[in-house]
Amino acid sequence: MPQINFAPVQGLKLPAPKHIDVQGLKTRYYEAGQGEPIVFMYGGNFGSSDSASSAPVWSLNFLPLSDGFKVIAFDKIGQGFTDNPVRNEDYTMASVIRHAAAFIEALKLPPVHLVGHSRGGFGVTRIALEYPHLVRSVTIVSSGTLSPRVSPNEVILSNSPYAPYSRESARWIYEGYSYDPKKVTDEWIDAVMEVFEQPKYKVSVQKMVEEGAGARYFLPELAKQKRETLNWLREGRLQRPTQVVWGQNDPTVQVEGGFDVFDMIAAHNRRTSFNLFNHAGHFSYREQPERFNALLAHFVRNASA
Amino acid sequence: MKPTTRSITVNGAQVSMLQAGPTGATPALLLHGGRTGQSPIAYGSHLWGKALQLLGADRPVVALDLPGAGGSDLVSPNQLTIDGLREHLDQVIAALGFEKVHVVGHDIGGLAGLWLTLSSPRKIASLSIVASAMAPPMGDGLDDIVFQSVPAPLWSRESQFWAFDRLSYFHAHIDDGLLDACVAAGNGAPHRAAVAAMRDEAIRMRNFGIPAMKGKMWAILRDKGIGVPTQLVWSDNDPLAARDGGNMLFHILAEKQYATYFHIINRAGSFAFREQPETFAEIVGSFHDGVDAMMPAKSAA
Repeated sequence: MPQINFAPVQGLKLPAPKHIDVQGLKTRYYEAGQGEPIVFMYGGNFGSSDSASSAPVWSLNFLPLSDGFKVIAFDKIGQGFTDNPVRNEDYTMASVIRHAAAFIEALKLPPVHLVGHSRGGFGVTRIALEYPHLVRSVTIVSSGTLSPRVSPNEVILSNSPYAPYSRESARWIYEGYSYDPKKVTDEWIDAVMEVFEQPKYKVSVQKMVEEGAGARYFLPELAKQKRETLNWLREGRLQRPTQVVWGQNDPTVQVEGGFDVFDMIAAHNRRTSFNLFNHAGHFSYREQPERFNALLAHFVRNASA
Repeated sequence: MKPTTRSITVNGAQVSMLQAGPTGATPALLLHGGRTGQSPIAYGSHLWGKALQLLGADRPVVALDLPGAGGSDLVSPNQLTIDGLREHLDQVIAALGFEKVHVVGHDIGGLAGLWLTLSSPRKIASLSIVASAMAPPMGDGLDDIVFQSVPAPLWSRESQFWAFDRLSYFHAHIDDGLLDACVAAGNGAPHRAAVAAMRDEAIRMRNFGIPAMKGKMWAILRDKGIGVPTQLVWSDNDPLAARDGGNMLFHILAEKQYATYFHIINRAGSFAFREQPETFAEIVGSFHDGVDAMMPAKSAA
């Protein structure tokens, strides 16, 4: 393996973002480095007014790993700086997955190593199931969406005491997700604020909340798709090297759910491993970036050998 | 690069080892498992197989023969206890000139590594406990029947194959190279000395000093915890080291050590480093790299 410094370097900035047309939607992504391609898919979904994920959430992993790999972090449809869905009925996880797969296809890369967190962990699993020709390996990080168990995140994160679209609200949410609140850096919150400030983001909140796309389309469609996905995993349809990474101190996802995800996949897929990080909440890749980066680099190297 | 055999003299006794890898990074020290003189397998550095080279891709790796195993002399029956082993390991680490070392211990070697780290953490960069049924709390366990009907004669090729087969998920790794080395180790003077020592009932009954040591160990873990990054590397199909015990030990260590990790390797029994060497090296190698990156100043030695 090329010598990689797995520790994030203070003050180093992401390269300028790029844009590509995917399904007629302007899609923002970051790209750096050379080698086996790793594509990061973050969590959350469109239409939240108290937190907002976007590609820079991977900054602590993207930059160190760009020393040895081609790393790509993109904004999902309706999130970050990628255009919103055109129709209300496209505010679904299925459309997020179609868009993500179309994005990967548009980059014309050899099969990629997918890394997905939370709702993105569900997303990358689904891409590997539906579009296996695009995928070389799968890393699933703390995904309550994929776990067959109840997730208590609504208990931890409902009714933020702060105003919508505020720094304080975003900080309250991500601290609630974390083991160590000090790991929620200003740089992270800055990225959230940039997303909040776009008019198109407020439109997505309007659609999901006020116009009811969340209740009418997103949640019921996700529930159906989740049942199908769990059945597919239990049938052994996930046929790529897979690692499951979980945070021991995630207040929003049960550790037992991580074991369940591992067990479902491992029953049919030899190349499956389970990795539990102590002192890590929902964002293990931000709370322990050195360890996460080293694990991912070794995994990707083996999966491409 | 093929591993090479090396011997050093510590306190007048021969200590034999396999080594691989380039110099530069913090070295890794591998401690094999087995109850020397008692196990139906003649354990030793020869068990690590391909994992030794894989772990040595980027850093020096030394796999020891513990006293009474392989080519390492048994100086006294005291070395067949966890306390005796700990003392021995301290001396070997000093003799090898290691300032810092990543310790990787399998089975009883994992427990020895744990005791070494708790007693003298100064030179330990990290600890990996691999498939160690003896390291977690035992509770009121069941009697161990995995080796209930070992075929005679002990330490013959057939008998050792049977024992490996009992402990493995799949038997393909039990090849001629492994069995040749195990038969040679079983016939070696150190192993014969360990077997002879075990004929003494008093030595046998102290059970490698494990029960006496574990009480002290839990008190330290309860009060102070372990001072270095520590991971447990378990297997999904290990007839000895169950997930439940590993998970409980993880929680005990995680209480006071932030850098604690629990890994499970799929389709492997007690010998994940032989049965799934690439995955094993991925998990252990990435731990060493990650710990080095977390503590660049400390691991520069």
